[in-house]
Amino acid sequence: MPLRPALLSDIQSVLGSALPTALTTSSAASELYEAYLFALVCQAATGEGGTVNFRSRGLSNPSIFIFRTSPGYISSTNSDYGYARISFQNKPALEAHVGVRITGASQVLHECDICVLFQDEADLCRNSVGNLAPRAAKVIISVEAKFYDNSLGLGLGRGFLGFTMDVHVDKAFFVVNRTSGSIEKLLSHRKKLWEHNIQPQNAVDVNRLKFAFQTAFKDFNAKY
Amino acid sequence: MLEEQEAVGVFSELSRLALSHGLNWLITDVQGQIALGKQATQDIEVKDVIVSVDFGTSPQRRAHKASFVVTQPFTEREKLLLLIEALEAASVGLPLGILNTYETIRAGVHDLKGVGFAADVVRAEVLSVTLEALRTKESVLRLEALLRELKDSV
Repeated sequence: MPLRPALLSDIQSVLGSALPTALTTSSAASELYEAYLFALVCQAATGEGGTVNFRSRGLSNPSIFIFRTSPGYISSTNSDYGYARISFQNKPALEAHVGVRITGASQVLHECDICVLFQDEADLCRNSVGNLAPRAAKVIISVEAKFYDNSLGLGLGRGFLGFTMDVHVDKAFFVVNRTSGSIEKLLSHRKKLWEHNIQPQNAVDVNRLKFAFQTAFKDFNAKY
Repeated sequence: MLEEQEAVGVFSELSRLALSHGLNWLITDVQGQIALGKQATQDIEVKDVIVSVDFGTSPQRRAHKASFVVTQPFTEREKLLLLIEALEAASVGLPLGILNTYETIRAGVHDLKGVGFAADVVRAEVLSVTLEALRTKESVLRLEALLRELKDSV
């Protein structure tokens, strides 16, 4: 198909109105992306027969659902951050959070972009005095999310491998919005869970990730 | 299909558009990818020395093919495709992702007014993005179609 002469000026005329105004830094893009992956985890839980309730520390139905944009603690009261409570019949209740710190086997704190953990562990941390970080052993799903970022080099893959060595989460995913051959090769070789091209326009890739999350919930249901 | 020289011109124009909308970080990312080049494997004949256990026998050299990783520069058309895909991710993927997030949460919270973002620090400002995303959905879908058309032309 030849290039239509007015195509670039058409793009120029809509680009400004399509872009979120918050999108002036790559970290802002990453935060929006984490929220999207949180939604996919919740959709997967529903798809597997679970019930998802969106809450915040103070409210059961928050009218503004606030996502963390910097790593924090479940007990934080800096804002009324939102989370999802996930229930499967006759199974221990779970919670999904964005951007919380968890404790690895070495007693070092790690940031989990998205994590699903046991509700009793989350309650324990929420009601504690001081900033108590959940134990990695109580996390059933963790997601390391990477949106277009100029540091999307092999170092991120190596970082994720280090994370999984200290944080023994059964289903730890590395999810990126584009392809990155070197990282994919490295993580495949190490038999890690990863997905690429995850953005709403790519239905096939998004469905594959949602099914992978569903499988994690299915395994949880079988185990407990 | 664009000629390589035409692709250079479109790349330059599209970069200018992205920069004028504050997407400097995106252009930096694309330039970083371009600088790394594309990775491939190549079989190259190498000669290994085979050391004999017999005294007085000279070491033998055996030739065989070994697989090496090589990087090659992107063509101008490939560079343009990288830029279009980056722009698509930021200007279509993220707004649609926000809408998807909003709709997922609204399915459980009927009087949801929006989703917001705040750092986990004292007195953090909450930035709400949903109403803006809802207003711009039509533009996002239009832009998605235009970028697809551009990709098909490359």
